[in-house]
Amino acid sequence: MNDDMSEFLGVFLDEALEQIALLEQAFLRLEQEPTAELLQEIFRAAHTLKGSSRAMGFVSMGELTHAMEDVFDRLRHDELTVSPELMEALFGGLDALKAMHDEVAAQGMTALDTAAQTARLRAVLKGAPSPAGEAVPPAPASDPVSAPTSMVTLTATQLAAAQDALGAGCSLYQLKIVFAADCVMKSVRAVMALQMLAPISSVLALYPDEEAIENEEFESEIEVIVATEKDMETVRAAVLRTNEVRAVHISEHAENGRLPRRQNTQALPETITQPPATQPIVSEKKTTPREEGLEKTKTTPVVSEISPSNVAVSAQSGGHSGQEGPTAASASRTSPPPVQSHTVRVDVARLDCLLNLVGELVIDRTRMAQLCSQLEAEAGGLSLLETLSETAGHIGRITDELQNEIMKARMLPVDNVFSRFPRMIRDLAQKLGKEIQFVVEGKETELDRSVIEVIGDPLIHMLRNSVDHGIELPEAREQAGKPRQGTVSLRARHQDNHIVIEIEDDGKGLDPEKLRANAVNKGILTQEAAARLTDREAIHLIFASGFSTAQVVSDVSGRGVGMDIVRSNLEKLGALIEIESKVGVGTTFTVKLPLTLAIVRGLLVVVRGCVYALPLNSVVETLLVEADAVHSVGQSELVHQRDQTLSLVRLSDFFALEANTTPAERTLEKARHQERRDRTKPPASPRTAANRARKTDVLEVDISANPDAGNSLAREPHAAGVETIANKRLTLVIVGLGNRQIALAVDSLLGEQEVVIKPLGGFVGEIRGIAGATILGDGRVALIVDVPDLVTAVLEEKGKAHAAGR
Amino acid sequence: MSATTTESTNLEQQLVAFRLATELYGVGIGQIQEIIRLQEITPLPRSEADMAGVINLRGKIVPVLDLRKRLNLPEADPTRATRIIVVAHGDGCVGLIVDDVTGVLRLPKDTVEPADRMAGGLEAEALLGVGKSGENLVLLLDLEHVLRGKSATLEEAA
Repeated sequence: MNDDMSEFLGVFLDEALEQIALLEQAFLRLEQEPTAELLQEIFRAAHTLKGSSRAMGFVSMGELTHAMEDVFDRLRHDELTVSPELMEALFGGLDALKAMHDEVAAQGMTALDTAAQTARLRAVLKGAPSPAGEAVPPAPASDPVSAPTSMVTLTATQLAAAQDALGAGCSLYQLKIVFAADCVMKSVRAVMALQMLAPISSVLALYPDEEAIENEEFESEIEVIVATEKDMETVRAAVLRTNEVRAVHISEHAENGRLPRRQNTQALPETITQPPATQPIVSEKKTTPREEGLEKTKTTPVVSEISPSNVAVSAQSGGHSGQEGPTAASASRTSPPPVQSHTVRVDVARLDCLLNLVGELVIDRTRMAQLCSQLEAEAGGLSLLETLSETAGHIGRITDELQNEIMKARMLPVDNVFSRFPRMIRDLAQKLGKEIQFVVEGKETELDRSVIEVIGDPLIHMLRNSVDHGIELPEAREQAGKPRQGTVSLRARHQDNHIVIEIEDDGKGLDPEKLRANAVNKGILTQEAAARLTDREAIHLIFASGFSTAQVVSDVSGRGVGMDIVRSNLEKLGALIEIESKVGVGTTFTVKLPLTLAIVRGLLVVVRGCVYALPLNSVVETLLVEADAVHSVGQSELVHQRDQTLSLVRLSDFFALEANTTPAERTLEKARHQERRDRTKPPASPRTAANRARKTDVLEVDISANPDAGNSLAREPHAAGVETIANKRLTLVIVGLGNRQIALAVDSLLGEQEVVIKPLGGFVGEIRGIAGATILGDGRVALIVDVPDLVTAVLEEKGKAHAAGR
Repeated sequence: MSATTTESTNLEQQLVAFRLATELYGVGIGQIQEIIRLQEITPLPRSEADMAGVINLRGKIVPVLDLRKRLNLPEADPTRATRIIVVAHGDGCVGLIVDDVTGVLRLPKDTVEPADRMAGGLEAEALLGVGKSGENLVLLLDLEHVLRGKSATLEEAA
């Protein structure tokens, strides 16, 4: 591919992806209920894809879509009926298209051979009853547009569309685009020129027709009639942006005749190959054409019975494929009356960058507010200070608004992820011999891009799980007195500052007894421990690592990823996951996600002089307890709170803060910031990665979920080793997700604040229990605690300790 | 950043010289983004002992390495002269705590000798060579090695 094509590659890929997605959805509907409109829609999408892929030089892609297009042409003329073989061939073709798209996206080219898929489609066509399998669509000879005059004309329907457009305040222009004589890929240039026109105008007619253009069946010029709100110069400039366009003759089109009223030609010197901005635009009486256009508007009778939806493209596309193409299709999107688009495509990186900048502002806003209050405390009463405070307050509000707006701009409907599921469920159901109805609700629910990007995989696994393990085979369902067809529902909705996604199936449900037995067999739990689990706890066992209820690991749910990974991935996003299940009735997974991952509200706590932020969505409550509320059990500590026994983790111990603080650092701290650190404990020996595992003494704790907890508590109620906390009240933060809660002991609470999550970067790598860092109002760095990870780490270490104990 | 080509001629190279314990070290000037005074460092829990922590460098979170510890030199208290040298690393940057930055010096290439003749607590592989600037020996620090080694140990630990 040539260099100046590459700038279109991004647009091409985006559009191709859109078309492929559209096709996929349409195929699924086609399978259910083929309607004429649907076929029309599919045909158009296939045609657009064919046109643009050919224009970009992806021949095999073009061939394949061409074959698909032919199939749809037959279908919509009732010369072919929808059959399973046909659908398989179509889906196969679609998969190949996707693969090609991905290859092009990754490498800028595709080497995939689509001959097999194309042949398959052709074979389906051959099997068709009517006009023997010539794959080429009917020649557009009968089409008035392609009449062999030298001038492009409007057909009756096009004329109606034109009049409609004129009625909407547009002007009609006739363009003759002349390509350089030595132009190598005239067809490509022509399509590119048409693509240039598409965003600013509606192409009403062109000569030769699009098929011919794609096949390079024209000499050195093409003619186009467009309807647009823009003036001539804008249109001309747009076309001239295409390389190797030698000249553009533009004139107004008299809507009732073929005679151009005004000729306005600009020729390009042939030596210039990069025309755009530097080209002087020669145009006398710039406003004239526009004015005339307006005049015309007044005199033109508006053909009101023609609705915008059936003008131009769709109205006349009857039996000939030749008239529609990328330009025509995009014209139909903006179509008459051409309204200026109110959206722009923005690079995601730019949005990310904006959000980062706003993040900086958020930090500075907080800092400014702090400085102001400090100033007021030290030098209150100055009127200048008052003004400063007001300004700071204003900047703060603006920052908030800006942040909100940018967050909104980053929102995408969750359909972006959901749209790929119906196909997946369909394939899966077919493979497993199950009958499944897939219901999607709330796909318009909006969610930040950062979240959209990451929820796809966990949802896929959960859906696979529902289809594979949840829904029974049709026969089994009948025996159980249920309809043969199972239902899997995927629902999204907003709730407070969260989005809730539910996956529900009406399958066999999770059987707590089986789960218990399974856990024992797999050595995850002892017989007694399993027996002590409540049903609810037993159901949550499917999230335990190394747990899979399927007797045979199928290639469906298998794939090496268990529900434990699903949960930990979701929890990394700050999501909560819950299961409700009833044997024989079904299972519902509920995932509660934050709206964004970039900015969170955090509870700031102080531990050994360092500030840590605990994301508020994982904080259950904070409380102050007397030291004697803490019970030591062996090496672990427990706290009793509201009928719950929670394991207590001292954040300072978990993070080994004392150990990490070397004399040099302490002096450094001392030198600059006075003694801030709590030195009630003697410094422990420096800890290295090697002896981290030994650090189980603080980690070996029980949590409420553990059935052994109550037991051991009874055995050793007040053990020794509480002297460090004697006569002291403890500040506790109860954190956790779902039924896994622990109590974190901190030195003090600082308050709530919005924090911008910044990564620690690759050099630091991942630190257990730390999600990232943020910058506080005073410029200090606070670490953000990764609560789910911390809880998991605590539980893991506990598990190890238990294993060792037995 | 192609440090060795940008600031060096064929005959000499430009270094930022700094002191660590008793020795003078040098790092190619092109590798250095900036030199800042010691500021408050937020320690990173559960990380390597030579990882001093992270700092806020104009809104960016920058990890800081205690170079004395990294090179197995005796620990020392910071002084007014203590600096953090910020160098580019991967997509971001990394700070290195040094005792003192003495300035920029030009080192004639022909004075540079391989480092294996060095002894002491220092890992010879952390050095690119040893040069001579006037009376002083300058140890040319191999930043890639110092930082890469760091990342590797972390990966292993993780």
